[in-house]
Amino acid sequence: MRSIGLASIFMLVAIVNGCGDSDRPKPANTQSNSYSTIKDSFHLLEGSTEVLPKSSRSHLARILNTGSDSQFKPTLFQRAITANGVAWVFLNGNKVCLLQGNRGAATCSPASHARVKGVLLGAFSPPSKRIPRPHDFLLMGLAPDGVARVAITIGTRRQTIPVRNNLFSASGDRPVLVKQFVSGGR
Amino acid sequence: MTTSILRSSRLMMALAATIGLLAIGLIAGQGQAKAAWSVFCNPVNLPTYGSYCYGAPRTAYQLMGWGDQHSVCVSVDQATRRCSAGPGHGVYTPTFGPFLVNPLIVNNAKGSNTAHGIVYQP
Repeated sequence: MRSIGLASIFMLVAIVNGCGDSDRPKPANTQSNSYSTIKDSFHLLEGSTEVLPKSSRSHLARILNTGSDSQFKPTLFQRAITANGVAWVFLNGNKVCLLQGNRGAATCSPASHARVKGVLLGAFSPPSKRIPRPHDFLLMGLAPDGVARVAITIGTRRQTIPVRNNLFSASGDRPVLVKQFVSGGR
Repeated sequence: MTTSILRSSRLMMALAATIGLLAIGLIAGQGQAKAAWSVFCNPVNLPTYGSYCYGAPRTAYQLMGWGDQHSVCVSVDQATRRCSAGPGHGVYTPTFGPFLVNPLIVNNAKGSNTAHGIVYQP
């Protein structure tokens, strides 16, 4: 009986240690394993890799602070159309990145973070003489597999939007914010 | 007996009406939470790439920022930094708070940049 109890404890410790180990240093030859782990969470990344236009590549290298274009080695580029324009999803090292094709804003999140919380990005137009407050808000997000919908707010109005191919987007004249992921899909 | 039934049904109707009004009030009240804007580092000159400005800590729903000459990045945690496309383009953190934050805005290009930060807060 005692040996069964000890075995259970060892199994539990093994399971707990096995979780969330993605941020630990890994040998370089495990990169493909790392890719497959990330792909397991975002089926969008399983598609054939696409080529980012050169101008967009330079723009990304500049705003993601990767130094020169030659030092910028993103992988697994995927282009997708959302309800509010083009999104580019890619990996930069062990980070999952999202570029808003129309607005040019970009962000990257560590894979371990992205697998749970997704990758979320908001862009807006700053105050101008004509409209003296932030306006023209655009939200784009990459949700992990299993998220079917996303509860958002636009100003004080709540709504739920669908996730298609891991991506979702919404726009409004008030801040568009993510409240929570709603599971139900792959 | 009839009087008793009438009395209890009136009580039930009054109770139902009260619950209904409460529910309407709750539904109407949802999403009407008061929110306000405040500024941080707005405007501030960030002279070089990577120079940054922190605002005073506060409770926030969202951070937003833009630069007049170049891209800026805003951040609420170490894990994720969100960067605007370039001058005159704003970027914001799209997760609904509230969260306690030291709002941060960073110059994301070589050269001087006039940065602006705004916090959307309860």
